[in-house]
Amino acid sequence: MAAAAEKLSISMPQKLATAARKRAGRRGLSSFVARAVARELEREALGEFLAELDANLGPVPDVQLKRARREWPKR
Amino acid sequence: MAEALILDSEALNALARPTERSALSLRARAIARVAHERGVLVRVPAPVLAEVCRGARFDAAVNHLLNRDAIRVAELTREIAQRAGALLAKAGMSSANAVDAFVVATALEFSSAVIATADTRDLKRLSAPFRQVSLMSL
Repeated sequence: MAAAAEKLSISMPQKLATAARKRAGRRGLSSFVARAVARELEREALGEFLAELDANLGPVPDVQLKRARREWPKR
Repeated sequence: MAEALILDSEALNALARPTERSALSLRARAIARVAHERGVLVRVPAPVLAEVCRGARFDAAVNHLLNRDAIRVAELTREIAQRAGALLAKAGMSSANAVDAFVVATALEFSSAVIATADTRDLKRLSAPFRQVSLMSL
């Protein structure tokens, strides 16, 4: 069930557009851009959620953040 | 498909009800914060909701969190369910660990994944063969 699509006219730096077209390839620029926008919206929503928790409960102690960064797997 | 942070039931609970689970919650928030810094997607495998949704009080907190679209539910597909079965067989585990297997099978949908969990023992057995899946203990 594909959701209805809206046609947009947007501008972006030429270098970026070229790189996006190249990467999107056969999938098409529209679905590539839609996916990128969805990810960015999600990322911003996560940032807002975490900032709200910080504001309501106090920030996560630095020692905890450092530990989590250290433990995050390096690939 | 990208890198993901997968939330197990304790991790979801800790983020959904942070005041009631403060020690776990700080740890879960730290892990989620690092995911955000790294641009990693945060996902809750749908079967985890069966472990967390235990009536109105719990559900309200979980719905409140999931409705923000900051953390999405990874739906349980036929492929994931069948893969979970294969993981259980391979690890010599029973259906009692089905949700754990769904969690690992969901993690395998991504190019790499970190699972935030309080239950590292069973998840370690299931995820051991896969280098792209790591565990972070709450």
